Amino acid sequence: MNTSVMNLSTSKSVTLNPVSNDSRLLLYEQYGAVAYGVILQIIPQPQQAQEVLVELFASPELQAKLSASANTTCLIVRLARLKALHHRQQQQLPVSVLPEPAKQSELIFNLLFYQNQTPDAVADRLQIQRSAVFGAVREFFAHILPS
Amino acid sequence: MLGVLSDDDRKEAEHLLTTDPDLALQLEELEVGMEQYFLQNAVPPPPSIKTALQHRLVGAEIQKWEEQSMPEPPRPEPARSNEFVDVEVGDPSHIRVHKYWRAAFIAVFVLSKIFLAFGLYQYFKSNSLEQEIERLKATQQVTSPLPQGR
Repeated sequence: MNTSVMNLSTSKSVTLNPVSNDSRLLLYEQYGAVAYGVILQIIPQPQQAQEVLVELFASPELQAKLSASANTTCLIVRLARLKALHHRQQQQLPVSVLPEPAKQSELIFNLLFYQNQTPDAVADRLQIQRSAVFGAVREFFAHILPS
Repeated sequence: MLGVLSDDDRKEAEHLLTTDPDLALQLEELEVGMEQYFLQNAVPPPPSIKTALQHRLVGAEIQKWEEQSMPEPPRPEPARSNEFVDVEVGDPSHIRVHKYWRAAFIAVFVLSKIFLAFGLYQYFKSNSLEQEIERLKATQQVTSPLPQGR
């Protein structure tokens, strides 16, 4: 008996899924710039940053995490940061030097978010209380909001 | 929200959020501030990235489709304890055949030699017979008297 013919006849019928790809492209159009901005702060090399950006929007876990998250911007930002940090570590890229911010709250946010330092490390470095680290982050974002 | 907290810190924050409604409100405000900040710092990627993403997504779909439509390889039968397992050595310039072909090949070779010898024997035999006939004809012509002419 011809086994190859038998196996082909019993294989599952599958179709391409253009809907999923379209929704990903739509997501990219809406949040691609936000994600690219985050990635560039962590990986300043444009070519590598673009690779991470494509990787982010092509990743299979994006759809699953998106349905479980209430805030899409925060999710995209979080995933972009994680992908960029992972890529930087994998490729052994140097930690990017960000311009010295005018405010300490911005410096604390940069150290925590872009340079992936722990709150304890930041508190040690700046000789402040651990709770002051979180306070500074809150202050940093509160300052951005229009009063 | 941004993934900067450790697991313990996150659990503590989640617990506080469930118990303190004011904190939940503050978090919502913080979320709005974050969105504002990241939108301000957004950098539009080059248009070629969208094309690269499209190619990547289509490539992933095709790969997925190929994986699903590929026939499952036949499961190897479990080898018996006192039986050799044939292992295919991957040299495309050689073929492997059943061992009976060796005996068949030898038989064909021997038979071809026998037929060749028989053929040669028959050839030389018929050749010598023809020569004998020619010789006898010539002898007969010499010994028999010529017919009388008019």
